[in-house]
Amino acid sequence: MWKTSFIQFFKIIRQNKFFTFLNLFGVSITIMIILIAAIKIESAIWPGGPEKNNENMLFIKNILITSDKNSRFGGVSLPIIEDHLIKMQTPKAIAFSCENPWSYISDHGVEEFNVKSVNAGWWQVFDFEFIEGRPFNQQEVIDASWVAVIDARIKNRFFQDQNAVGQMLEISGKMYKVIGVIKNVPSNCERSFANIFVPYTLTEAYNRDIRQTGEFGVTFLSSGKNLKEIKAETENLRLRIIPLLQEGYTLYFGGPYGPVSTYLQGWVSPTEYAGDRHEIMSILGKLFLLMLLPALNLISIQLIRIHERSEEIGVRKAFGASRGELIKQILYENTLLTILGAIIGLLFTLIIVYVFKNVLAEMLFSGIFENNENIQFHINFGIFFIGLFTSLVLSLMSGIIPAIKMSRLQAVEVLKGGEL
Amino acid sequence: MIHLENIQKIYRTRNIETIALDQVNIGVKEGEFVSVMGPSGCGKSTLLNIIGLLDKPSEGQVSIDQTLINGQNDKKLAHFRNEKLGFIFQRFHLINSLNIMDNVELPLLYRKIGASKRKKLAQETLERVGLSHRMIHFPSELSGGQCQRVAIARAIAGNPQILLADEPTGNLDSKMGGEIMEILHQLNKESKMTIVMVTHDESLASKTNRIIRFFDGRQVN
Ligand SMILES: Nc1ncnc2c1ncn2[C@@H]1O[C@H](COP(=O)(O)OP(=O)(O)OP(=O)(O)O)[C@@H](O)[C@H]1O
Ligand SMILES: [Mg+2]
Repeated sequence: MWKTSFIQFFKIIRQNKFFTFLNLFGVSITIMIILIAAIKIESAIWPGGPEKNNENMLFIKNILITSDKNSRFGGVSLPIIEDHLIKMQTPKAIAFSCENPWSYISDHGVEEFNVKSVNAGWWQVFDFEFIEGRPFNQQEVIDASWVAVIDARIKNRFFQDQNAVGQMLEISGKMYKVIGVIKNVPSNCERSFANIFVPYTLTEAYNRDIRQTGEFGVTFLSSGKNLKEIKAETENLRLRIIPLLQEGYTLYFGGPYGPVSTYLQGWVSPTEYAGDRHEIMSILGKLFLLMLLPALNLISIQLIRIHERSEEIGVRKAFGASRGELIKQILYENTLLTILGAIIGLLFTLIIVYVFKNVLAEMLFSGIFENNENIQFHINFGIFFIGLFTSLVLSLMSGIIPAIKMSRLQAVEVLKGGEL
Repeated sequence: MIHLENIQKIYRTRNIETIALDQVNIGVKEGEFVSVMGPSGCGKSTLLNIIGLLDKPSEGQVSIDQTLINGQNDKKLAHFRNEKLGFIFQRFHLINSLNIMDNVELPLLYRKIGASKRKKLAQETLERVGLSHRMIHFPSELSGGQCQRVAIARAIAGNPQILLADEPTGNLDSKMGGEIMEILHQLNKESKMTIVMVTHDESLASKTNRIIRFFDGRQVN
């Protein structure tokens, strides 16, 4: 019975090319959307590169200073970092950074680069791969030395195949001495990404007023076991800083959160942040909406397809197919078609991920070529099976109702060209 | 072979009731070739569908081959149709996505027969209607007469005792219609098949054993 059904199935899909195509297309697009959404989310949360150990990291992306009357939302200010956070006992190391774009104007037009002003702890927290030279140290940061660590892209752009270390580089009118060259940071590494790193002490213009928000993001490196202690110590600090603010104001940190929560933080504002579960529900809700479109598409295709086949169903009934056999056949075919569609979707995703990685990276993270080549995308097979399962449920649900209806119809009505 | 007692069929659609068949009593003996005639809308197809167990009468009893059909469940009816009945329709109703061979095999799919045996049976049946050279063609590639021959092959592939034909020549010209009739007569004589055929053609009907005439849902002879 199964083998016969299988052969029949292939005969039927071969002949009904258009609907087969639509159906397969519906399923495979659904699967592709799910897989690529998963890739986007996962490679943002676990980007690899210098952040490959980010399970041991905690981030404070921003702060909120608020009273009844108004609130200020922004980066962490230098006084909070220098007077409080940096003195914390629990983290193994603390990194902080502030980002500035650098537009370099030459005969080629305007080129955009990314400069991060960072502290010395930066190089301990993140795991950069040095091609040449070394990072800057604590003393160089304190002395505000004009030194820079550049990535391979900057080196190739300005020094081609000479040694870059020891050379001078002019950035926005200031001369820096290159002391190290790192491998290009993948563009999905949101926290550690930059083309050039310089000591933060070189800039004077930062806000120094603890009552205002600032410019920095902070990353703690934990030993892996004391994430809770770091959070507790930060909370203590927060309570100690609040009295230093203007009367009636209070302070919230957008952190310290692990990579998942930090990613989820982007979905709502930090004041509404009510814990991981709440956030995951919200993200699932949004994913559900994202899925709704292909799902509706799939259902309508199923309905059309079954309608198309009403004559066949009538004939089969006349020649001895029972209601049960008809329903079984329709559901069996739907299942096979869905699995086939899912496999096609998976294959296309594999092709996109491995052959057109750069295109995908540009779409997802809008990075440029050099920074995309080091991205590692992974297909999440768990998600694939969830997607397959969802599609199966959808196609069975959308198949079973018309299947039952059709099988109940008196064969005569169908053969007369009856309607559902 | 076929026994109808006090058959009534009423179609109810919203507020209109159509009495398609009323007080119909018919007996057809084994091996008989009967034609059913009457003006359009008089209930011929309805009668055939009731005999074919595709439709249920509103009143009355249907027996086929000494078995009372009323009240049987869907699975039993399907099995019964598969074993005992073969259908031929005016509009052929071949499955366009299957080739000729697969179309003819269709009734055999619902029996416990191995694939190779099925193929062999289908091939033999196609030979009987003179179309064994067209096995891998699709219905769209055949003429109307050829399609009807395939439909006959499909109807007889399972070797049913009863063949029900609803205007089998209605869509064909007289030459092709003649060929179809020849096959039906041959099946009736050589294979002893009981045949009930609806037709509008007096000359075709006159060549059968008996004519049952209908008018407005009632027998008139
Ligand atoms: N599904 C249905 N619902 C309502 N009325 C129906 C239905 N099927 C048939 N009828 C009505 O029942 C009557 C008999 O129809 P039937 O199809 O049996 O006629 P017929 O003798 O086969 O006609 P023809 O020669 O045109 O094929 C007609 O009046 C028709 O309109
Ligand atoms: Mg009719």
